[in-house]
Amino acid sequence: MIVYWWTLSGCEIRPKEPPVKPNVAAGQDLKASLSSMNEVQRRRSQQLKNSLAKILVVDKQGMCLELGKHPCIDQVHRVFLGSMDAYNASQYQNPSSASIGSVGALERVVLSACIMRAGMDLLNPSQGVIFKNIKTSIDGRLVEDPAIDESIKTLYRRAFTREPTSSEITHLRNMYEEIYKTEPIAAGRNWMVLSCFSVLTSLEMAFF
Amino acid sequence: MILLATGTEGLGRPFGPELFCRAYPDSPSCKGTQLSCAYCHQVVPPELNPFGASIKSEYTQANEVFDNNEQVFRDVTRNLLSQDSDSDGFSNQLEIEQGTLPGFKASVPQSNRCQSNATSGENEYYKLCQYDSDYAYKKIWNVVCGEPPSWDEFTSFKKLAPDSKLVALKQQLEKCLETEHWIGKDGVVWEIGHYKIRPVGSVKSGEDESVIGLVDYYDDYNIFVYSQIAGHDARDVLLADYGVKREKQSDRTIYTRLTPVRLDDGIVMQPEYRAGLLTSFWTLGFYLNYTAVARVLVAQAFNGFLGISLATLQGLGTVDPAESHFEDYDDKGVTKPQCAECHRTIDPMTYPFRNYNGLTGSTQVLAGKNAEGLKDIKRLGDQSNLTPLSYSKTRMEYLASKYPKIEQMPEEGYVLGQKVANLREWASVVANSDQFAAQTVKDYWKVLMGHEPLAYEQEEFERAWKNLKTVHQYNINGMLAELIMTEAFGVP
Repeated sequence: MIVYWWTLSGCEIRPKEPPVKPNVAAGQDLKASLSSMNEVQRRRSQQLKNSLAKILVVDKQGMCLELGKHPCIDQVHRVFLGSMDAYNASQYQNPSSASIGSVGALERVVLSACIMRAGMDLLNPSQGVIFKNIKTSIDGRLVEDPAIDESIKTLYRRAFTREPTSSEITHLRNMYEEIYKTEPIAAGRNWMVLSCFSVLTSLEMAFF
Repeated sequence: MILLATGTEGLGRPFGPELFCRAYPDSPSCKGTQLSCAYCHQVVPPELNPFGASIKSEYTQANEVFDNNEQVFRDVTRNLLSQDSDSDGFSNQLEIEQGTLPGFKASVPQSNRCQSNATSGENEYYKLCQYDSDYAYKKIWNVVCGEPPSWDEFTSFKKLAPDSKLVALKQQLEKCLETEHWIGKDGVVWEIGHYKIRPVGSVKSGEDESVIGLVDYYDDYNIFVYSQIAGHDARDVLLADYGVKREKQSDRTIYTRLTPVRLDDGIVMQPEYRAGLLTSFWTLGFYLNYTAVARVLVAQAFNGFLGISLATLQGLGTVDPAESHFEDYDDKGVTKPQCAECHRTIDPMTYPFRNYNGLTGSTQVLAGKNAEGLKDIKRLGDQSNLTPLSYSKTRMEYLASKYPKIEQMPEEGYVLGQKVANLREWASVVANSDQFAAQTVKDYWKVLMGHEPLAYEQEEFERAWKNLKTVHQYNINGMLAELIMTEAFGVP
């Protein structure tokens, strides 16, 4: 477990000591044997919409809107997200494989929903669905607090009905360092959005 | 299926699938479905694939004529069983037994990987290669409810005893089957209906009306979904004489069966002549349209409800033309030898649609001709009037000016090898067929498992569609409760 010790230096909040890089391969501590069946299903558009709405408690129709009015999932990216368009494109079966725009569509929808969730949790931290009681500085940097680990745990529980592994917690914590280096201002908010984004665009979310 | 060139004239041999299945009735390729042309041909006949070419070669060597003789076929192909025509490493016999294509290298028998692989046991998340209730629970949520369970819901389930979990799985399924994701407009069941109805958004009228609002095919979806939910009879999709009303009550979609009263229930067809989606406004208007003989309509019905493609000559059982009264009633040349091979079977399937009118004569009807009954809209024309979308005995009379022989076309016909007196009998034969049951289960199998039944899943698949007909009496929910307990669904 990496422990941050935050200190005030001038007007900046920054880690006193650099975090220890985890050096843990993804999934190393999963302790999971591989399935012989390899039978997973793609989470298609409606399942994705319902899942994001339930996990993040965001409005199904409003979580992503093209030009502010056309639902991304139901209309704009419906086929890219694995569903058929029977009425307008005469597609009467779901596509059997992902297409070139599928990844981009998935990322767009998830990012939009995560921005919405992070914004709401920042506005009212005590009622936060994922990032509950997360503390940020006046210029938006993350303040070390047990609520960080709790948020990561909540995210994994709501998304995958399991606890995060220690390496998964470490990865998300370390991601803050990268975000902070790129843009210190509002790094806390960006970390919330991108933590949510990275977990909900993982293979574990895209398939079940 | 097999085409042997004779001179310069190509003669289709659509008896091939039937012949093969009489010779090898235990092949999964012959149970609850019709053998695909791809068994012996390249994607589109007549070009032969390696297995088809092997059969042709064996016939040539044996100096036999390829006809509908089952014993000759079995004798001739016996030599091929130990061979591997497509060089995929599996013998033709094994591929026949497993239901894969012996003429396509990419189609190979699949063994149950849990039996052929040492991986098994349990980890923190799954019980590998054994039925895992926790895995099945999450899968029911994701597939049927359309969302994952919450942390609390899942942890509560995990605490249950093994026997209690099995009960809880069925209870959860029942809850999910009531969700909007499953039964709502554009829900899972609704979407299964897409390839059966094949909507065209540009002509949609009524709800979600398009610029050119002509037909409201949502009526077809309402009947289809109703037949698939709440313990109703799935065969009603082809047998219903009633319409169904759909409405939203407190964010919940409710389907209500209507009393069959012509027009009052939104259906133009006389109730005593209705046959579910076969006689809907959309089907008759779009697939029968202005044509005299319902070939397109029948082809679509076979594709949508039996999973059989008439266009690729799949699954045609031959009928003696003398018995079926096969003639070229609409001057389309179907009695020419190269056409008759297929049409002598296809056309008798269309005869029961003889008096079912699509849009024929609608211009005259709208002008008040041939439609005295229309003066009183409640009568909307009886059988003696040429009314669109209705059963009309004068339809052939009207068409005779264009096709002189068409009045001789009988109403009795043949479908799936059985003689039928009218369309309602036709629909009954189709709805009670093995093919209908298997195709119905396959629709839901694909939703639940994410793929068509694999070779090693055939036993569970066959049991499911046979039980749909018997144990579940065509109750889809009962069939689904069986499917979630299969290895195909619950073994990670």
